Amino acid sequence: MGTPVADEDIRALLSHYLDRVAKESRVSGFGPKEAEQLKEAMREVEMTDGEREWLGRLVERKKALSGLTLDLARVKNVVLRPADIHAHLEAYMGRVLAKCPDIPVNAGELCVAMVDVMIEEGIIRA
Amino acid sequence: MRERPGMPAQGGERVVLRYLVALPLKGGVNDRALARPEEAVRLYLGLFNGRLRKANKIELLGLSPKGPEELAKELSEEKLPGTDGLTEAKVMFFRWRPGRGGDEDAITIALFLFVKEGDKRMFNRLKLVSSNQLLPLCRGALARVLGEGGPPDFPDDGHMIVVSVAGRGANLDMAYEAGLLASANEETLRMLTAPGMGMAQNRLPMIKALYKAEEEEKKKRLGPISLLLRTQNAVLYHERDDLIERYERHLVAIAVAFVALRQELKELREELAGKDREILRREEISSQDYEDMASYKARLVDLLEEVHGPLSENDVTNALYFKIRDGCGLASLAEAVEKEMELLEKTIASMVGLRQSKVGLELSERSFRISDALFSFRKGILGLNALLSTAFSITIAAFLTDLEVLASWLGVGRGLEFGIWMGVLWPLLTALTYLWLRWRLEPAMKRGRLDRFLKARRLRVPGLGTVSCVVEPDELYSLAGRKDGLLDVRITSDIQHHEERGITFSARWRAGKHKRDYLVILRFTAIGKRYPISMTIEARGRAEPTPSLLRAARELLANLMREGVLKIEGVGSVEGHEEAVAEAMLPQTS
Repeated sequence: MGTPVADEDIRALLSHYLDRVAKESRVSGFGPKEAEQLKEAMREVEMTDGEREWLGRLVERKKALSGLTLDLARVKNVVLRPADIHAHLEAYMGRVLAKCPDIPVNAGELCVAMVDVMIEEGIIRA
Repeated sequence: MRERPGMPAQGGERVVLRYLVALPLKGGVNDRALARPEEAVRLYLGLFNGRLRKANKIELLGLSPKGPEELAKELSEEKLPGTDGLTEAKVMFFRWRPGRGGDEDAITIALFLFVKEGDKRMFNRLKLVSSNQLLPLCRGALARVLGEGGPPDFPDDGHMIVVSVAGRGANLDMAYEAGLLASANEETLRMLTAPGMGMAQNRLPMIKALYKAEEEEKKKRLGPISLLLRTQNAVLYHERDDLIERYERHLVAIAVAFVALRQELKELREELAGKDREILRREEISSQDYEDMASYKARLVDLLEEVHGPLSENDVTNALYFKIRDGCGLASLAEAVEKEMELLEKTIASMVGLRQSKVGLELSERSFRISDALFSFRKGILGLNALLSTAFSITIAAFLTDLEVLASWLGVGRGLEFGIWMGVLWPLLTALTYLWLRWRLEPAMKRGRLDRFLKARRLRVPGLGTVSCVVEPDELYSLAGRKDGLLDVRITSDIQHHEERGITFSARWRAGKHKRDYLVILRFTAIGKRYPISMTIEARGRAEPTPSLLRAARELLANLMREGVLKIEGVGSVEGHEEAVAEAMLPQTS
């Protein structure tokens, strides 16, 4: 493994997916306003080591795919599937949502939508 | 609507969601820590009808000793996904033993009941989404109840989810959404989170369409309650939660039966598929296969009786059970298993048919080779006849010429005399040798032979109904040892080849004034039920036309029945009907 991924990078990546989910109206009751609220709340919620490890892999894969250097071997080694990510993402987003009791969004549904966008972008293999 | 203790009355309209999840467990549970109050046993088990309860030894192993509110609080504190608004959590364990199985085949079913309550605006947070949220909640509850040993694992499928939606703030649209999402798989969820699907005008018609597309006719009502049904998922909706709560015990009993019967059908289906694969790999079918089929069939009959029979003495439970059974896929699964059984039976029957054709072909080939050999032998004998007569006539003619008998009488030369003797002796000796050979060989070459397959199962006999026939070889041996029977039998050989046994014997009997004498080969399955396969009947030393041989075969079969060598099953006595049974056993082939 390379250098550990910073929490801020993970949060930035998740914010990107929250924005896309909100912009594309993928989840009922979740719009740009709710996305902003969640992004704020994310700053206050720490990740567990397990969550950090798996969500860190998302960042690595995103970087590898969008980087100018074709680091093919590394990309090949990090194959992520929805099942690898979903439980950790839902546990983390569940805690973030608990900080915002007024947002009428189901953590499970939100995470399915986020994972769906990740699959579309190619960082997770369906 | 019922006010819950510890829940402050809030403004706005409230929604109550109840999730009942029934899951078969891999392995049993340690029930020492569980509570088993008499009231609960009466409440839940009392609903099953006595016959079903006894046949399957249905038991309540126990329920969580913690109160529903206490367990819900603990789960919420664990911060498991999907615990928003969780007010009650119950866990119960049932045991169901399949009718023909022992304790080792018992199915343990864990039943979870989660009650969630909140403002209608928070409906999206209250609803549980797919197994991603339901299973962790069930696992968490199981770990809390069973303690240190760790919860047993769940199989991937075979569960049943019943969702009830109630409360002043609830509506039928919410019931559609909550029901679908609770049982949705990843693929369905992805469709529902595609761009633009978060908007109500796109989402709801899609969800309703999924119900309609899958189970168009399955939207039903039960009294005032709306009932939506999908595969392994039922949804109940009514504004009043207290009314919905009354259905809880009925739903528990139905979910337990549904999961257990589904599991049993699934296991039987897997066994049938395994048997099918096994049969297709092998060339031959043995009697073991028939016995297996009989046991599968008996199991299916028992299962169908349970699936299609009433679950309870209670009308409400039965009405709800039949609707859920038909709408959630149990009835169609039973139908599918029935069809698979039928297919497997047909496969076995056609393979037996192929095997019999192969035996028939072998017999014909053998008989053709024998005829061919006899023809060559006959030609050889005729050649020998010509050779012998020529050789003898030359020698005798030479001898007589030497004596000069005709030369002295007729005054001819010796050469002419030899010619005269040859002209007389050669045809004479040829004719004599031919007659002698014909006298000795012709009977051996004359024969009438008939090979026939015998029908032995599901014989429809007028006046008797449907019967089947089996061979008792011991009786044939005992008949051979007696002289007072209807048949005089001498056994020549008794050969077993794989699953087929063939006994060759000569049989003599009287039919009116006529004496009958035939060589018979009776072939039958060698293991298990000895069903006759085929019979060869041969008239020795005389040619006999097919109708006469068929008549003899019928008489022989009837006599074998009278002597107990052929035993007829499925009817008390066949006395007086032996000829009719024999007629049914010999299929009319052109």
